[in-house]
Amino acid sequence: MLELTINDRVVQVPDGLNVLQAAKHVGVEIPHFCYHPGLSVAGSCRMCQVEIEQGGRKRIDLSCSNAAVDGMIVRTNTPAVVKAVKGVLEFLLMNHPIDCPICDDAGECKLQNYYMLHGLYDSRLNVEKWHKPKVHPVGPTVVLDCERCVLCSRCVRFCDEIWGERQLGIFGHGSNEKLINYPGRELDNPYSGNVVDLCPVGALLDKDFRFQRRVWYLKSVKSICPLCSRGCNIYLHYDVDHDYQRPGRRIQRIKPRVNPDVNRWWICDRGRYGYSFIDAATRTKTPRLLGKDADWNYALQKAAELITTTQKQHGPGSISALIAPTASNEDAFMALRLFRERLNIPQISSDIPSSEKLTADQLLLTDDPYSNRRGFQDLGLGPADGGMNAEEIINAVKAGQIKGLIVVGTDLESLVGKQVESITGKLDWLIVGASQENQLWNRATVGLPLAVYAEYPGTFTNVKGMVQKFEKAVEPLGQALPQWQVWHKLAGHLGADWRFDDARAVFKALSAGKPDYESLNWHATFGVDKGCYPDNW
Amino acid sequence: MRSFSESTRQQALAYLELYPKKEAALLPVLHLAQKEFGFIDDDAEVAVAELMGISPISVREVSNFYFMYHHHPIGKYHFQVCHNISCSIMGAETILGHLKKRWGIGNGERTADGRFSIERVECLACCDRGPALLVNQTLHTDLTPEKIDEIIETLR
Repeated sequence: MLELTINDRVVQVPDGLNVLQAAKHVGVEIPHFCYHPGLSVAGSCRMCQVEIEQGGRKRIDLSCSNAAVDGMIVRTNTPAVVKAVKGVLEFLLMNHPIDCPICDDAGECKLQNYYMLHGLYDSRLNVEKWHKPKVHPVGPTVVLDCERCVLCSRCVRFCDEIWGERQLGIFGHGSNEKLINYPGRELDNPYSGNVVDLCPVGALLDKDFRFQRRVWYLKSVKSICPLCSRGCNIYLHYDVDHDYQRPGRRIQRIKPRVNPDVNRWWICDRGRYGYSFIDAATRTKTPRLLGKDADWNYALQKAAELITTTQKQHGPGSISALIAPTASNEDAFMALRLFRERLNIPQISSDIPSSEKLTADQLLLTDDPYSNRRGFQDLGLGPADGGMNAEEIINAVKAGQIKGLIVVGTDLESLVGKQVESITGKLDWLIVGASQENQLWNRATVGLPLAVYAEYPGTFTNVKGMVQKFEKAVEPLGQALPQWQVWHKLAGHLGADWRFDDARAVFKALSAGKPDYESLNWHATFGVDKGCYPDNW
Repeated sequence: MRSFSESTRQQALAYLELYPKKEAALLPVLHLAQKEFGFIDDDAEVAVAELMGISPISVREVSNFYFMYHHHPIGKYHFQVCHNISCSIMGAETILGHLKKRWGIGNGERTADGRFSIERVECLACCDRGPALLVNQTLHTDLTPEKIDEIIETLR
């Protein structure tokens, strides 16, 4: 720890911080554009100037490129500092188009906020502003407005330092200087969306969020990305009250949530832009019985009858279950409790090959598209837990040894291709739990519509064994239910009297005796925030 | 695709040896490239980037920043007319206007035969003898339109 004085307050801060970080540490925000804790220090925006007094000598200097030193006196609000910062701001705004009403970044824009803080003057420019490329498709997912750019170079440094390949550059000189991609090259790295988070203004914007929502209407919950086993921490930004462009779009965008142990400040584009399945037209919304809509009670009653009858006729081994490890720990726990403990079904597998092949990269993406393989393993539903693997179960079905099959969260394409009849023809019945209509859905004896991760709270265990909780953003579509609730209800129809009021109660039961799980603070992530990007460095 | 002659290449590699960071040699290497190719276009940037083992983006950021790197072909005789305050007071605009009229080209342009080009430049450090003009590496001072015509005649 070291001691310094910030705005006449003597404070203690940890070693190794710069002045800007030290001030933030004690609640003093210093305006800045180019500084970001995840990137190298550029010192190019000149916004973070403060007065630094050392050894009795005062100077106006940058707070981002000066280390906090014991005994340093820092002032962020003297007239000289304010004048310097105001001057910088006026230069930055000189050629800025000030098109805030149609800018998607309005509401979370540093330039806007600092103008409120330091500006509030009229423009002194009496000549035409410089014009630069607008709506420039800088990459497949990002659109660039060169006029709005403040040349902080955060995006340039991101590509350079974090992804490891130069894709953007700042070219030209003076007022004509502009950030843009090199001719013939695109901002096409698999982490390109992070430059949108990094951009302190509205220069770099997500194509898929452009003109969709005003950011102040967004609500936000803390969640976990379900698209690979890394378990990146994310915010789900949603809004169901203002349809401008696409009716039925509830999830508006995904933003990374800082977690130094998992994803730091970043997420990959696959996770960032891969949310359309949540509001897809192909979502399953109603329980199905023999290809017709049914209500939950009737469908589950039928499912219970099928299970009971088959077990009576052919024994417990005549039924098998395949559950993809995309479901939460609570889902897996309830499935095990029902199928293994209550019904004594011997062959339950989560070992379903993924139809999507991922290649791990140097940053975050793993080669496993299943979000919760580790959690399934911890709970006793992994491939190493004895019994047959998914392929062997399918072979047993084809051989006529299995009469009833429960398939959840997979369309089995990776195992049977499009030849669904090769198994449905051998089965007395097929119970399908799915959140998306797939090739099994309309052939299912009973179809159970499942909620997706954004629609109920739960936990995933990532590839490193970290147990992480995700929150509920929106209601399940139609009559869809969280998977654990479906098994809970089905157990009721099979005569069990289980009382799990909510996901937390399930989690409590499953975490008993598992220190990694018991240490999770269920309430730590709770709450709905404003969607304006909160990790805005 | 452009490639350096062997002698230029050796000179550039020698520059790289002079600095602790190779990026520091970019300015002199770009001057070498300009001397060799006449101007710095996309291909020249790529050639410099490959020679130095850095990204073409880094090369472009620098070559775009400095006005003394040309991005289009210049004339055999490149007329650089100072337009800073002393030369302007002494009639730099007249000199520029005379050149433009004589060749029918504008600032930053080149005559169709490729012999002459005009560029308005910053101070040539001859404020006491303005208007001043640099033709390639030769300085001419105390200019009048007549004197300009004489200079051009000698360049035939």
